[in-house]
Amino acid sequence: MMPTILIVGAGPAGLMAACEAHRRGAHVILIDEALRPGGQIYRQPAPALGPAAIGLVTERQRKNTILETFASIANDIDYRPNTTAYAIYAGPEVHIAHGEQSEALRPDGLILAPGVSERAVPFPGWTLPGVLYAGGTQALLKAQYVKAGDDVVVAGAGPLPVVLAAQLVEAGARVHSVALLHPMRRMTRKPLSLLAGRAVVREGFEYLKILRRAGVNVLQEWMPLRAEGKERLECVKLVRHDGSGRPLSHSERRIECDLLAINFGFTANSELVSMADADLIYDPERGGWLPLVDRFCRTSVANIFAAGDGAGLGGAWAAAAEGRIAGAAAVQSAQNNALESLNRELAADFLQRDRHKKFQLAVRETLRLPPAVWSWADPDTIVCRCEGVCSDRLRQAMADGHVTLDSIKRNTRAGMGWCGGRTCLSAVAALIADGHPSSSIKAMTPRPLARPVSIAALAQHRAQSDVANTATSGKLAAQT
Amino acid sequence: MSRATDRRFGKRDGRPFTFVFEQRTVEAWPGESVAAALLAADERHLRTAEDGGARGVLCGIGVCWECRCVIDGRPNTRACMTEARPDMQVRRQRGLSE
Repeated sequence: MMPTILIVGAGPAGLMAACEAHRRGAHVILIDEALRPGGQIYRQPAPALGPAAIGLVTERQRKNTILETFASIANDIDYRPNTTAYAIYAGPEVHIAHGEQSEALRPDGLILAPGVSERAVPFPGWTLPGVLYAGGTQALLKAQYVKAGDDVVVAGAGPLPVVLAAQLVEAGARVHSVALLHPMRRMTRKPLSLLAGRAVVREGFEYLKILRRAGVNVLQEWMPLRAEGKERLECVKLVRHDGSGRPLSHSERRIECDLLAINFGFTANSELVSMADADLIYDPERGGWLPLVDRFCRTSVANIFAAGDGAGLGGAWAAAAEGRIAGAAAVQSAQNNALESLNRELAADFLQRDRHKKFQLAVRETLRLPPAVWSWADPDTIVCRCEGVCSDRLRQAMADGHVTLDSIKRNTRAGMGWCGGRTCLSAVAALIADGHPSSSIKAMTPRPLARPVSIAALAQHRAQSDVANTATSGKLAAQT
Repeated sequence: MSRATDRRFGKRDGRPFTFVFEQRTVEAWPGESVAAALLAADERHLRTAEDGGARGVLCGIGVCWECRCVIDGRPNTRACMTEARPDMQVRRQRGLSE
């Protein structure tokens, strides 16, 4: 029998999972929140905008390979863009919404490839309009051909600040400074890992060349002290730090700008895998709460697989390989076949994944956040932006004995707003651990809805079976 | 520092049209999101939080909901996830809604 494989997320992992599962004869349903395939890394502009006329230095060739491979099968599978998975129940039974319709699906295999969001590190002024995440700024460049500002400061950790700064320069923005939390040479702490990722490292040197040519200050071991302005960003104060995130006096630099792009790493979108009751681990440098997966991307729950950055940061190359592995493994499992034969069949994919995960060890050296970053916020700095919960309110709650995310949420409302805690919870978790995130931090209890869905969509619900319908409508009613 | 330069780059297919943000007429091209058109027009303050603070686009990809506006009368509509359309009426969202 032809198994049905449901894939959530159409980034490199989800797209390649879809191709591989389709190739192996499965009936593939691929759902994705965006209007077009590619995920965040291979985000595509609306066709109406036309092709990009200026050549941003990007991973264009890799992007085209992935998108063309998917395009060749897109019409043969059930691809549903603009669709949200908002709940998972035992089965697995996955609830999805599209516009004002919702529906329950019971696939034979489920592959979660939900990707990552940017990790928040609150500091004074970070809520001002004009302070954007670097990834968001990049999305505006890639898919909208719009620079989010003319006079720019980029700050953060890891490779993205350098990449984005170079792309902004190419788009014609004046990039004044790039403030990197850690010196780039940190990556050389893992020389063999660097070697494994030499193709990516080569791209990195290209970006640095662009910055040098444009006269951009690349400051290493610097941090944003505060963003200032009335109703919008007007200037940024950068400061040197002591290597562990504590500002050094007399090193402050004030830069007038209208865009501050920040990135301090990424957080996995793990709400669904958590709701599926899969075992999670907490590893902030690899993306926070992550599903425990084996070599074949199997989670602890039967027939549920996890792939791509959302299952642990590895970058786009690793994600594509992992997608193929998960796609093949899901079909094999659904047909009750042993997975060991995949070791040989997919040897190239295992190799590619392992090589890029190895490179990630070097990248991780630049993504590690020293404990002091969680003290950057002033007492009145907002941490939970949806509910307006300040840093001192959180610290007070913790002093009162609320030391789990669930308890802090009930006490302060942090994490209860529109974003569902996807923006602030990693920061709250770090505050709880007093800057020493440990593996004992429990994720917030996942509840439907994982994403906001309209009441109309819930009302117009199509269940695959009556039993499922009764069980779920009761649970949903309790939430709404 | 407020320069009213256009922040678009590259060549665009299609013909520009306009929509309204607060009282201002803003230009947009087919395929642009409301957020992109507003940022290009140097409009950054897209909502006023319950505490009175100004907020704007943060994540740009639909995760954070900081850019939620009232679009054609519908509150809590993310500017970054909504394609701009001719004659759209976009307002700053104040608090929970109006």
